[in-house]
Amino acid sequence: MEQKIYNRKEMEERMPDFIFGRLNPEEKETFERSLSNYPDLQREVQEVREVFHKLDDLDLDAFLDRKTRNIPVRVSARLQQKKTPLNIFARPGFVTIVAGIGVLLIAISLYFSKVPNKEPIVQPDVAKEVVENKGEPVFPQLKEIDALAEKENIDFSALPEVNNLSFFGNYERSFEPAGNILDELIQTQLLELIPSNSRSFQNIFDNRIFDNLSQLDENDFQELIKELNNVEI
Amino acid sequence: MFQLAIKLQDDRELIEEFEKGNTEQAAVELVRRYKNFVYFVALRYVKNYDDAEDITQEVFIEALDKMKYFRKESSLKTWLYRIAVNKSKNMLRKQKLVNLIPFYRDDEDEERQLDFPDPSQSNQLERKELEEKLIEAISSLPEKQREVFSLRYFEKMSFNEISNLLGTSVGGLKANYFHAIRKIASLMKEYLEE
Repeated sequence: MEQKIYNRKEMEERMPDFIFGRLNPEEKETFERSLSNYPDLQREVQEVREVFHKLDDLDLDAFLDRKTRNIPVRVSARLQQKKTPLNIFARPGFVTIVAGIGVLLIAISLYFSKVPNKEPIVQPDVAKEVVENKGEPVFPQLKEIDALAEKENIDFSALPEVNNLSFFGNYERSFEPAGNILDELIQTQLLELIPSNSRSFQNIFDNRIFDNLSQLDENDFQELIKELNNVEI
Repeated sequence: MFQLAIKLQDDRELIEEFEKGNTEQAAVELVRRYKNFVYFVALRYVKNYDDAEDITQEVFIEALDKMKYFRKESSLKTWLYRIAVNKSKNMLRKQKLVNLIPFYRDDEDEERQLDFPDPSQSNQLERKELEEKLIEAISSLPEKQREVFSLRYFEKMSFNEISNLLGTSVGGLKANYFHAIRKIASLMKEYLEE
């Protein structure tokens, strides 16, 4: 009966296990028998054996033990650290307190959502006040404007800008620094310059006009009046 | 927590301890039993002692955290191996990103790679150098060769187990093992002849 011989690939696959004594007896025998056919592998087996024989003295486990000696303590510490906040949450007392606070907050929010606010923060509805002209206007200047508008038959309610709060916001800001400069005289003179049928509320009371006017001195203002007299509107 | 240690014969007993609720004792044993294995896996990938230690800690924290999900289809060792490889690869990816940032330089990197605590005894030093050289040689191998060598040579795992772990055919593993042995022998021979 012909004895089995490994080919080169089979030899290479088994070589490490042969060197480290991990082949089964049958494989070992076949490997040894086949080895004589491959002198280069024979040499290699010898070299590898020599090198690993020197490495046999090394105790890699001892080396790794030195490197890992602190790991159990560190893992333990990190686990404890991880557990601590969880423990607080897991305590029955903590859960009760959190639940109590939650219920209280829900009750408070429900109470305030049902009870009407008796003293709401009032945003002065300037537009409404000017249009209806009831009660005291928020700004004294508005009263004067209102009077002028009445005199000139300007229907504020017909002008969309009047109902625009932001417009009045700007209007208010324009009046504040102007103070007494924008007195009735100026406004009257301005209004008289423009025929009533072509007046546009926005054109007359444009914030920019008032801003600029407030910075004019008397002479410049008179010059402006003269100029406006020449303009055909 | 880790002061109490119990002797459990095998992984099955260890898992049973976890299931019984003796988690602290089982954790002690799990870490004690596999710390070197996990550390060495991480070291082969990240090639840095400090990073390998960090990864080892994280592996055990994750393993202990997810012990309840552990399926007994695989062994604890292969389960830990997979966690360790994932964590190591994640760290390498992060390091790659950090290295993309210009001006980044860790001055301690070089120091951390070398660690000779007791140079007073020359014999011990030589031995230590040799150990480090071997680890360096192993680390220089391509991943498949490195892993099959480590798992077969140090961990004495069967080719079938390694095949399951690495997803490579047994034939392929044997070829990789042969090349790994050849390269390590060549590298170590050079070093020993110096």
